[in-house]
Amino acid sequence: MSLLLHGCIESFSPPEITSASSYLVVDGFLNTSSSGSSQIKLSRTQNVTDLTAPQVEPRAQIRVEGDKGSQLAFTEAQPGTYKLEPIAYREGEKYRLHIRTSDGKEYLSDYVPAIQTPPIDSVTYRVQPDQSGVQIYVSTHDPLNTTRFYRWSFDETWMYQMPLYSAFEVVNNEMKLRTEDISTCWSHRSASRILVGSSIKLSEDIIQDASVTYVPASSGKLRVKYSILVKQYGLSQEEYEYWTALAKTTESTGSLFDPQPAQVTGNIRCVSDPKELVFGFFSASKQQEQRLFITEYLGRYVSACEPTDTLALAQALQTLDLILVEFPVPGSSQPLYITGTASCADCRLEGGTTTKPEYWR
Amino acid sequence: MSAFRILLLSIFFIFQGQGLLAQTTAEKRISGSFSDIRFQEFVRLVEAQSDYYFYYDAAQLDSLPINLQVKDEPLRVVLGQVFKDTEFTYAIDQQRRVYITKVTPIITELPSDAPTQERVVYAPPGTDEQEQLLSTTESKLHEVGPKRLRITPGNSTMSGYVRNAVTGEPVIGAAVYIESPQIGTTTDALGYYSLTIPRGRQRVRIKSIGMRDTYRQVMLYADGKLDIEVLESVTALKEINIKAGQDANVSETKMGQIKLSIKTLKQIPTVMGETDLLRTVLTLPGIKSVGESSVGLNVRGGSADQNLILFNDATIYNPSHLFGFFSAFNPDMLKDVELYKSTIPARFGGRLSSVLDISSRDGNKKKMVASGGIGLVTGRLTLEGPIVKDKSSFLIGGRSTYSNWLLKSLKNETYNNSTASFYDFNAHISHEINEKNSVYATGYLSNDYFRLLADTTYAYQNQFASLKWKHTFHTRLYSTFTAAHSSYNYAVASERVPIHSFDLRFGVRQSSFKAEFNYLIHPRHTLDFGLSSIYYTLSPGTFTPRSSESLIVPDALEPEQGLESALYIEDRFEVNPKLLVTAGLRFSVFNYLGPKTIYTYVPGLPIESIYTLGTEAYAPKKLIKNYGGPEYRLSARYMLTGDLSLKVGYNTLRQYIHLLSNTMVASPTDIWKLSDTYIKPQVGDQLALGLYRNLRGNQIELSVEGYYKNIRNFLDYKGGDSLIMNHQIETAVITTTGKAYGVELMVKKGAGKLNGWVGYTYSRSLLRAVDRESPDAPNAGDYYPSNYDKPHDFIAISNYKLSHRFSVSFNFTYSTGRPYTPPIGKYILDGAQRVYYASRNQYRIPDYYRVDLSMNIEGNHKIRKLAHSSWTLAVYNLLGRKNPSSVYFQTQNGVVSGYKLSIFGQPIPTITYNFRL
Repeated sequence: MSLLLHGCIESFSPPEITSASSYLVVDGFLNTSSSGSSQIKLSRTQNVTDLTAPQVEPRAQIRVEGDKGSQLAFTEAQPGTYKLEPIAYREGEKYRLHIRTSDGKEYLSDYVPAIQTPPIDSVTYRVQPDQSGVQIYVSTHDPLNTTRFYRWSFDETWMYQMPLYSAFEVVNNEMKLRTEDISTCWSHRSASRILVGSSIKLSEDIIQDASVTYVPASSGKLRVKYSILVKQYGLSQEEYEYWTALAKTTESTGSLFDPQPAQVTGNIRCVSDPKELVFGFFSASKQQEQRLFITEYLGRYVSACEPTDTLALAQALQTLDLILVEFPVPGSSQPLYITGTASCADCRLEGGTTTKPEYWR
Repeated sequence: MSAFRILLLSIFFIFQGQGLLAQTTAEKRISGSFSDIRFQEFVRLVEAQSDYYFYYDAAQLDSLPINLQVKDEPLRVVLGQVFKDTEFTYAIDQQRRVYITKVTPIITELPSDAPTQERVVYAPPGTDEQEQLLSTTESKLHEVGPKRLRITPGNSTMSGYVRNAVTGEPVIGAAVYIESPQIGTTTDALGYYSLTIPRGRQRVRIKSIGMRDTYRQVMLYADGKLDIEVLESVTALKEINIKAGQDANVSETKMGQIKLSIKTLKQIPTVMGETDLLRTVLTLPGIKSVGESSVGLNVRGGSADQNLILFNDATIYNPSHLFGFFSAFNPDMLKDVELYKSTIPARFGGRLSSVLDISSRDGNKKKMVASGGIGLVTGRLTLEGPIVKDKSSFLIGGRSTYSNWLLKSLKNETYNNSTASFYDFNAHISHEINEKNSVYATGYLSNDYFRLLADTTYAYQNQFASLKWKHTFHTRLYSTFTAAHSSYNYAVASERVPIHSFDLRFGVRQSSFKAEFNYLIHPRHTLDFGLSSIYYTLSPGTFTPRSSESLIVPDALEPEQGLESALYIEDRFEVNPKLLVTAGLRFSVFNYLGPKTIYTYVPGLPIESIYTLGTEAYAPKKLIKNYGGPEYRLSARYMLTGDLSLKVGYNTLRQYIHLLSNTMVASPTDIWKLSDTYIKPQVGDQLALGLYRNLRGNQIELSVEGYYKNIRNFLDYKGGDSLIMNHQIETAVITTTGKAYGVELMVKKGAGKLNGWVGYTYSRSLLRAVDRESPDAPNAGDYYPSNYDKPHDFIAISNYKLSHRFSVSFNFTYSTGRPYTPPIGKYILDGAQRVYYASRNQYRIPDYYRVDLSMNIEGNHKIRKLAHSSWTLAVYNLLGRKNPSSVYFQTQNGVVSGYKLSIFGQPIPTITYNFRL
């Protein structure tokens, strides 16, 4: 019975797992909004055992072809990332993606309709009764009742301030006033969760208060000012099902409640070998967006931050801490300097940037 | 004079032989008109006109009326007409004395070579036949039916039970037949037979597995009853008997039907040294399992849920212990097992692939017997005996592991924290009320509890109770009424992380009733008909926190109810001695019943949770959905030559209950599901063709069977959906159509020192989504292998008898590795990492092969001694090959790693002691 229990568990990595081919991944879409640019990233799949960053696919030629003759060429902005500046799109034209990789292979997507995404009606929020966070919602409607399927993504930006303010900095062994405010920063994060919704069960194409995200107060994002940019894309039914299926595939495997293995690919095929796997769904949709600001001052500082020391200039020039303020000492020409730890005074250490975003108000 | 005549008659039984001797020299011819006169008068008239002198028993011939017109005929011709269609015969000697006897004529002179034979006073029994002459029941003439003097031509039916003379148990599947003309039948599950043969003097032969061949001399007057007791064949203890009648392989219409007796089962080496029913069934062609630790059988490309497993007519949902390491059947309780894989009789239904009909023994009706076995891991004990001698008996048996004690004694903490235990308990009572009524009651309980490394606990339980009443209306019509209730429960519990600790439970219960009739309407037509009904209650899952710290939100799936009913009729028609046809029709209906809340979906769109429209509630007992339809069962046998036959079979079957299994984990969790508004019943049909030949006096059986199967509405799973605690399971499944085909070759040697079988199977089992355009369709809407598609399969089972007490078995098994779906890569899309899998079942795990060896040492063969005992020494997986039984994947720190679990990855020696008091 002991044999039975420990059995014999061995690592199992046959060739199909360790040396699977690397396939093309197409991440992006054609933004048919007259003001927005389009971006497509090309990369390669990796073996599941690989721990390195995925390889990008540079030097490819990407073109979008319309069924009414439009030819739109993307340009490579940085290795593996391709961009197309906003242009005017024709009504009712269908598009497909045409990729030629540097090794000469060609890939084509199905023709997809350009979806006329209706504008977002509102992005709203509600504070939890116990002040533990805010729930953010999006609402939209299509008076023509044609869109029906939606996907949203969002970018979060939040302004935050450090408990201590550092007014001085040591430059070339000299005490100088800071030119840059490092106590106020803006952090930025793009969502990786797939958000889809549909009004297919309703008689009218209305989305009322679809949940976008929940921001807990403990995250610190709501302490000063928080902003969310919600982007909305109209989808075809096929694309809606693609995103739903993709959302179900997770990293985890092997537990009782895990989903069954799935292979979600998309609508792009290799021209010379239709059996070759290609991942990604090419779509053409007008991107709509709306920004929301939240100033609720929720959440507290977690760590105790107090000035650490008071030093004379000579010592202040040597310290590893930051210099907060100087104050003159009565009866002395030498001022003293109050110091504080960088983690209490430098907001950049928490990943933000001191540059105020241009949309910030 | 009369006294002398009677004396003569009293000794006629000692004479054997059919030859009719009569003198032909110088016969006086007889004339006369004998009109409705008695035999004495006839004798007086004949003696008057000739010098013949008659010796006869006046009382016996008293009621034989004579109506005859003769003119100048020899006496032989006249007597021939007088005794036509009666049991009387005559002999005439040289002194013109006429001896009238019953059945056997008097031999009136010694054979010409008499002097050489006369000296032989006693010859030792050279053949079985001679030995059996000694037994009085065989030499006696049994009269069946009300006695008549004149037997008219035609057929009558004799019926009765064939029983073991020592234990009183019925002998199932015994062949009861006459040789000329060739007419035969087999006893049913209760040992009952019904044989329709020409009236008159017959020698009825009885052959059965492990029983001494015997015969009865019968004088069949009319329909009547004859119970037959047969002796166990002591010397044939190690004989492999696969089929009841030795030539049944060739002569029956049934194909793909295999019967294994407990003796055959006992020869196959198994993992823990214990006789194992399912493991033995797995050695037969066309039957596979997904893996070593897998629960189910896959019969001819069918899934594990497509097998109807009946134990004394009650359904068993999980036939194994510890996820398939042991069969859930105590070998000491078993009589035999019958597996139907292509021709499924109309009395069975509700599953697509096969029927595994397991019968327990009846307890010994004559004396108390205790038997048991002690192995390294399990122990078992069986007790049986009469309640009322020769009338009723009981049989109780229990089996358990003592592995917990073993685990605790190991100096390893992981083992100390593991438990693995199971037990099963059986009780069976049989009672013969009178000649026409018998009742049988069976109870069964099996329990499993399994905890791996102090983490997740698995427990499951099978229970049933069945009550059977057999009633004989008359010799040609009998019936069986069965009521049964069975249940199966499954629970998984996890305690590793207190805040995630949970209890997960499933259950299925069914109550069934069936009435079966067997009617011999005509010697060449046997009719089976009946009806059955099953009421199902399923509890598809409850999920509850296990401790107060647990943050699990309790959830429960709504119970399901359904009623499955069927009517059937089947005729076995012997068109002529060469052609035998069995045609059956079964009509089954399924009602899915409330209370239940059914989800509704947006019309015109796929059944997906994203398109859920709302719910509709149904009141208790309210009909939600109806399914039903006819099922056809046809089979025919044509004898090409005496030992070569061709069989054809066509079957359709319907199945209303489905098994959903999560295949991605090391220990599959199974949920049963009834057909409902969205999930249609599975429908299958199979066409099979086979050629059978017996060589060397039925010692060697050769068979080739080919089959092609269609399966409709088989459930497979959508990628990305979870099957457990899914309130909308219809959104997680895809409907597929399946096809399976294959060829099975088998050579079997049933007798001799070396016996066993060799089988090779080539088979495929493929599935394809019904909605081929759907993005969920696996393999882009093309056919893909099912989980249990293993094309090549080779098995050799051999048993060599070194002596009567010592035998060696050697087995070899090979099969193609099962298909699986590995994760073959990952990528980043829309800011997150995604894992992708290969197309479904496009890769295979390594091939499986295994060699086993076992030795059986019997105690001495004295019939009367205190205890009969035997030792079994076995080595399972002699070569120690690490055959993977499960392949699974786990994510650790963002890296997906594959693991293979081989349960028996080294040679496993076992020793078992069996006894019988």
